[in-house]
Amino acid sequence: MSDPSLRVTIAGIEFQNPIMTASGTFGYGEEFAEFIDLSRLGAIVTKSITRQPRSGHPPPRTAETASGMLNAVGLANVGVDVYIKEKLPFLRDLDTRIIVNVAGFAIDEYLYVVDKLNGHEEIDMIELNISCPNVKAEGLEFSSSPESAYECVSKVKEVCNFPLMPKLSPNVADIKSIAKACQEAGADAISLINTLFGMAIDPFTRKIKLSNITGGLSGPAIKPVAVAAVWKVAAATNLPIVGIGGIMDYRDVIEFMLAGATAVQFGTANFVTPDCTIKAIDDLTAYLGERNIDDVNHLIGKAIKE
Amino acid sequence: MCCATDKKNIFHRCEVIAHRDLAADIFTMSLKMPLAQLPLAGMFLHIRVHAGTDPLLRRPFSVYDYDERESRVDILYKVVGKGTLLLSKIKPGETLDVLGPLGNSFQEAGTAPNLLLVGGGVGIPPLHLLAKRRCMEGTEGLSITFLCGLVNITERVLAQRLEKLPITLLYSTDNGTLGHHGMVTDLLERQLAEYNADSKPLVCACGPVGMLKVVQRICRQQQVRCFLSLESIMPCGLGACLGCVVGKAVGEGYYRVCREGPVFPAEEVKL
Repeated sequence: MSDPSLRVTIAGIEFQNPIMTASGTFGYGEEFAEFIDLSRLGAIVTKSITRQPRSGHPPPRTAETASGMLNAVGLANVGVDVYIKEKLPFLRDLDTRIIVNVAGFAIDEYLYVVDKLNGHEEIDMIELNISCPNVKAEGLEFSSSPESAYECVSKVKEVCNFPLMPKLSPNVADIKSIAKACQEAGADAISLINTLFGMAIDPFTRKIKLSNITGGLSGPAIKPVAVAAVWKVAAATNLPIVGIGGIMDYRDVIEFMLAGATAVQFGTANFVTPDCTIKAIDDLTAYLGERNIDDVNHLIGKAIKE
Repeated sequence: MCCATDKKNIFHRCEVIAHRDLAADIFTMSLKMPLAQLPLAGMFLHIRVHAGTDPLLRRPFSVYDYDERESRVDILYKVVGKGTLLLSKIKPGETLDVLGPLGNSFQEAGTAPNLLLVGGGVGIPPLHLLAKRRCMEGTEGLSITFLCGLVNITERVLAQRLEKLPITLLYSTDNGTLGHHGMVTDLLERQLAEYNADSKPLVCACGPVGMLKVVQRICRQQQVRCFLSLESIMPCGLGACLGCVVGKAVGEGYYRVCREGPVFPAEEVKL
């Protein structure tokens, strides 16, 4: 048998495999280029880009927790102008898809950034950060209600020349209703989940471990929450789903695909094993080959209910 | 699995060839490691202390020593938490997942004729490598004074390899059981007074942040060139997570300790 096909299609864009890197865990891509072959990835999702440069929160910005970590980096990034000038050219020559994550504090800011990115052919898709819990700002609470999610996504969709993928927060009462609102607003795909709201305090020094007080929880600790969210959203919408949340290896990739994801993003795992994505591509290929599954798409949504 | 040939190989599966409990929860560990890239003083290894997910993240350890012929890299550490406790249980013959060597080095100290090194506790290892390498390159015209700040005499094992080097070694302890009774920075002030104005030493320091702040202040006041090696909570070690940052002394923003550091000119960081 020939090698199984790992190709997946999301919003008309073909990806060579379903393995992506999650925003904020892979820098601008160049940080990992010295060590791994980026052209093997299905896609690189770059860190959140905002209208203005942001230096982020003061340290401490991260705290380790049971099978996970909290972060409150505060959307540190170079801003869209420097991003286009200095960071985007590096990604042009890579044989992988480029998804740019866009964040804002008001709808106008999203529109500004997307407008600047329009026309840059190296970009394949926009992931819209409407869910980051780290910054106490109006713009980042768009994912908190179906109405505000709809407003944000529909307005960005009007000006965006790329397929648009809102990234959903798990910190909501009913994630299905947010996903449906995004679909109605014209989203081409949905990624989920962003980090869970969290906090940690040292019992001996009594110090709160993050300078921002609260942060986003990620890592294997949140995986079951993410799998359930993917399952629910897959049942509630027709949109292709990119699953995120505690994915460490190919077994987790398969789990998310069985729950209904078309592709996945590796996040915190990049910190623990920087070559985790490459290894997952190889292991996924072997898994499919050993089971005579000729196409990875056959896994999507095929979880069996006992 | 090996990476493409144009990639820097930082991924190592290292056999633990020796692991010793020296005293007071202080350990040395020797790892078998290919030394295609020799570690420079100040660089660190990012070690996964076990294969599970709790604790999840790697722990950074400065390179303490290495031997090219034996393909051996040593670290010196103290058990301070969950990660180092797990590490301390590893037996010779077992293997560890190691990234590195990573980070920058005490570059300017590679050629300066007068070095004044200030090591506090487990801040001693990178400065040991610096002192040892400089001594191995030739001691003519070289003057190294090493100030060791320890809690008590039991911690003297942190300096056991320093005691074999042709350098001036001075101690301070918090309880007065060895050397000066007080802070290692008291010794720094006293020592700096001994140099002529035209032959001021280059100061390199590594240790707790409280100590580094005082070193930074003394060197600024006395206009002595100084480099600090910083410790930080460091999730990725590769410059991606932005977790290990330190404030820039001038202007806004932050440096990544793992990527722009861990060694910084003292006047460039806000501690």
